[in-house]
Amino acid sequence: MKIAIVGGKGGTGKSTVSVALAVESAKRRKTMLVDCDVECPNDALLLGADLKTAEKVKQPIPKWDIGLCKKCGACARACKQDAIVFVEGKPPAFVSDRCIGCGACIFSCPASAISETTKDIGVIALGKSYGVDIVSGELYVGELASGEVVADLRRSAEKMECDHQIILIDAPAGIACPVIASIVGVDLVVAVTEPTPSALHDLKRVIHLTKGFDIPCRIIVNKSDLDEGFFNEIARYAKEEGLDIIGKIPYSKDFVESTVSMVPINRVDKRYSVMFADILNEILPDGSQPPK
Amino acid sequence: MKIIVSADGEDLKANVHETFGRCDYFVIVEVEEDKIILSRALENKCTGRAGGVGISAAQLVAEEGADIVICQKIGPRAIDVLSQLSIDVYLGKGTVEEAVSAYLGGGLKKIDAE
Repeated sequence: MKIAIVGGKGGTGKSTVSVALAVESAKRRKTMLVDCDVECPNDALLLGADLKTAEKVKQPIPKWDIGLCKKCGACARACKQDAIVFVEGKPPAFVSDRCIGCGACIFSCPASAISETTKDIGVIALGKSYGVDIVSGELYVGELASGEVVADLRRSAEKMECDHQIILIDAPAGIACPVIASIVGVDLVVAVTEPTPSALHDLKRVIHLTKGFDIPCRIIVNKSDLDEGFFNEIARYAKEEGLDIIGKIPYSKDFVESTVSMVPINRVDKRYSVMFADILNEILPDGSQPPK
Repeated sequence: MKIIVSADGEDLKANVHETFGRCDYFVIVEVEEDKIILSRALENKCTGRAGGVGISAAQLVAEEGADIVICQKIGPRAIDVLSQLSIDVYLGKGTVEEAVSAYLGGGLKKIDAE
């Protein structure tokens, strides 16, 4: 069973929840945690795990045959990323780190002077901690194609699946390409939110996205006791949308302690282990078999 | 030869701006036989943008037909684009006139893309 943890707003606790659920899940069944937050992958840190780079992620980029180039500028006009600079009378200049590999320049060239090569834009790394197999992606600083790294990471993770029964996917914040690449093909989306206006606003967006993909969804409210009135507002919204709130996590400095000491919250205090075991039971109703 | 200097004003008495992409004006200086024969200013309309100003500014000076560029500092993307467009970049300070004279006297350092 594949479960994606999303949030919309950043900092609601996606990684904390992902890691805690993974540690709890690994006690019962073979579990893989895929860290798709490739712009700042933190799951391995939260699990105190050492990662080893397994492969590089490549992205297609254009390559010009200047001998064939007619200096017409069609490639620069086709580029929506402003990665190609064209000045009359000169061959085009290419800004590699702005390129997201869409291929429009290659398609637009009337002289077929552009072919495809690749550049490295990130890495996929592996580790193991608390019984959890970690597959983590990381986008290089300055690169833009985070969706590409997530898509590659998902493909790599699928190749590494052997008898894993639970695959948890920690998605990035927002609702853009890397989030879409994180949730495609999952059985369930769990949205982690908090009782704040911006979190509710972004929750609605990510739920809208999830519904667009026709994926069932549940909600976890982190720091749930921060503001009772706003919690009720989230509860009202969840009811309107027909979504269950499967977990309420109270605000506590124990989570700070967990992060600082790089020990998952389940191991900081037994009551969190129970709390996340209960949430896991909500996700897997019979406690062992994936729901259908 | 056309030398384009990133500047904080519109004439030869203006100072070389501390950046390339976000300067207020580009002072375009025509030089013949090591003498300044003409100068004019071009407003840098790229400055208001959040990002990618170096690339736009590089395009702007290339379209003006720059042979060389003088500035105090320049970002990696701008220098990369200028280099691909065969425009040399030199680091200079003081007024535009002083910087151009220093260049003509061979006293400025050329910088290359990485």
